[in-house]
Amino acid sequence: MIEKEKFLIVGGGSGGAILANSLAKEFDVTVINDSPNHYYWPQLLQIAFRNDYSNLYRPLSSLLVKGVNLIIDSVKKIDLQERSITLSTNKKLSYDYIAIAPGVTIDHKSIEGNEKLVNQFGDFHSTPENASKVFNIVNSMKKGTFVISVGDPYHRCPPSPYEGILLADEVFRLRGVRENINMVLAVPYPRAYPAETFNEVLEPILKERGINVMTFFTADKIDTDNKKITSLEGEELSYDAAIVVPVHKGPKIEIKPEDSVNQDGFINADKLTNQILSYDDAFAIGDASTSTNAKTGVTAHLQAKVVAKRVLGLDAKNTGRTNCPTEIGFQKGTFVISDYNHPAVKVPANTINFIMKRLFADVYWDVIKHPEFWDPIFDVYFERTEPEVLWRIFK
Amino acid sequence: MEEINEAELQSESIERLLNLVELLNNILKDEELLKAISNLLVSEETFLVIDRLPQLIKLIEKLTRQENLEKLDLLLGLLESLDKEILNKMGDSLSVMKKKEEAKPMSLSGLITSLSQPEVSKGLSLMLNLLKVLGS
Ligand SMILES: Cc1cc2nc3c(=O)[nH]c(=O)nc-3n(C[C@H](O)[C@H](O)[C@H](O)COP(=O)(O)OP(=O)(O)OC[C@H]3O[C@@H](n4cnc5c(N)ncnc54)[C@H](O)[C@@H]3O)c2cc1C
Repeated sequence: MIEKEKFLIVGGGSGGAILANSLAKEFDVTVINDSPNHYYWPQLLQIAFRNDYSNLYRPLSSLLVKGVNLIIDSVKKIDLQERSITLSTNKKLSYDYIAIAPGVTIDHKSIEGNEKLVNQFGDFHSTPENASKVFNIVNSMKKGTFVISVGDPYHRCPPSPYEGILLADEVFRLRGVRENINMVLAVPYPRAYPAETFNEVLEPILKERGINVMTFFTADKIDTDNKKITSLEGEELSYDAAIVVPVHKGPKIEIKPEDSVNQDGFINADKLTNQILSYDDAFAIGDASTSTNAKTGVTAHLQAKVVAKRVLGLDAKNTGRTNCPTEIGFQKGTFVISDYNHPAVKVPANTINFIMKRLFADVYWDVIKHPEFWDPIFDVYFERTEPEVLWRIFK
Repeated sequence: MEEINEAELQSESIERLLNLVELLNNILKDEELLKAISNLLVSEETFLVIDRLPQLIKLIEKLTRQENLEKLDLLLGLLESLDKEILNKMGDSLSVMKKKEEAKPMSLSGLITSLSQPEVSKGLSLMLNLLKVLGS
């Protein structure tokens, strides 16, 4: 019997788990994850605005197919030259192939005062505990100024701050307090949404819902005593309750050689192949990788499929496809769909898109566990909804 | 050995079935999803459609007869070739015509003069084209 090659996967999140399940037959796959659970991060929005914890996590062991080994431990070091990794217990493992997919590290400290602010009002990009603080605030606030401000343009899920402010608006309206609350969305961009084309969809919605947009505002300092946020651009914004989307950094893993990570700790990988520098046995996928044009689960998923095909000898490449379901409240949704060659399509907001978003969320666990079942369905979905095709429909 | 494989296959199938039941359960437990689907399905418009379903089916049957499909195709081609302005003007002239139902008959010279106006002749040629397509 021929021994299978060893494939180590660091991180069993959206990207890592799909990759593991896609290669279980061909390789001796081991996933190392620092928690026994796999988290579905989009649920943080559902906790923050609906107190719904239903899809938050599942035991990772229940999502991996038979044959995939799982080690629950934290990876401390990776040496690409030596082809080895070191765990927190100092145990060393060697590999033939490695895929690094540990996601991001949330760094509240990078914005002065944000730790204190998060303690008070929470956020929906870090932990379920912080998301539940947001729920308490939007369900108790009666008047004043409610702010969502973006402190890092490279945060996970580009449309999430917009979903946040629109879902908060929905809660305030349903509670009958909206008239007494001034809602402000402060963003670092020259317009409400960074992509001009998708801005045409989103800006009118924000306007219609009475949300004030402050542009060129990158949250830099928060004075929680005087309830003021100062931007890098030098402007001030007063609040009664505020959420600042925190700075995202790369994983806390020492990776050698040093030039395989950038100054923020993200792993330098090729945007088409996910290969790290010239190491053809090493890949970085998902949020932790610089190859990611949008930090979304779909991107991690598609990159995992590209890596799986490449190690099986196929010449697969990333197209940069994004597919971010965007909820705007009142059972309506839209999608941010783009790729390397096309800007985000102007997909109108409607109930069908909201239903699609919920269905994507509900089938998520099955998609992770059974790529062989879902791959053909998603291949058709992604082909039929290629930005090139959609641009012809939604001009 | 074969028996073990058979047992393994069966246990894998049962596991897959249980996963599918879990998936379905997930969907059925999703209140927001079910609310959105109900709101989409249970609306005034859907009631109207259901009420007129027999007529709609008859209409669809007629429209999808081969000869009608060809005519519809031609008609759509014609509509695509029109710009909005001409259609607006046509609409305007039709409403004026309606208002003037009781208007005095036009003299022959008046009729000839109005035929030479560009908008009237554009509208007329469109009408003629439409009639041609409908009649073919
Ligand atoms: C509010 C919000 C809404 C979102 N909405 C959407 C959406 O609608 N659609 C969408 O596609 N995406 C969405 N996303 C983004 C999506 O969740 C992420 O892009 C996706 O999870 C990235 O997958 P990943 O595998 O790179 O990282 P992750 O899923 O974060 O997985 C990383 C894994 O690595 C483990 N890990 C970390 N460090 C170590 C270590 N040192 N050793 C071992 N294991 C480690 C972690 O425990 C984790 O299990 C949203 C995110 C947020 C926050």
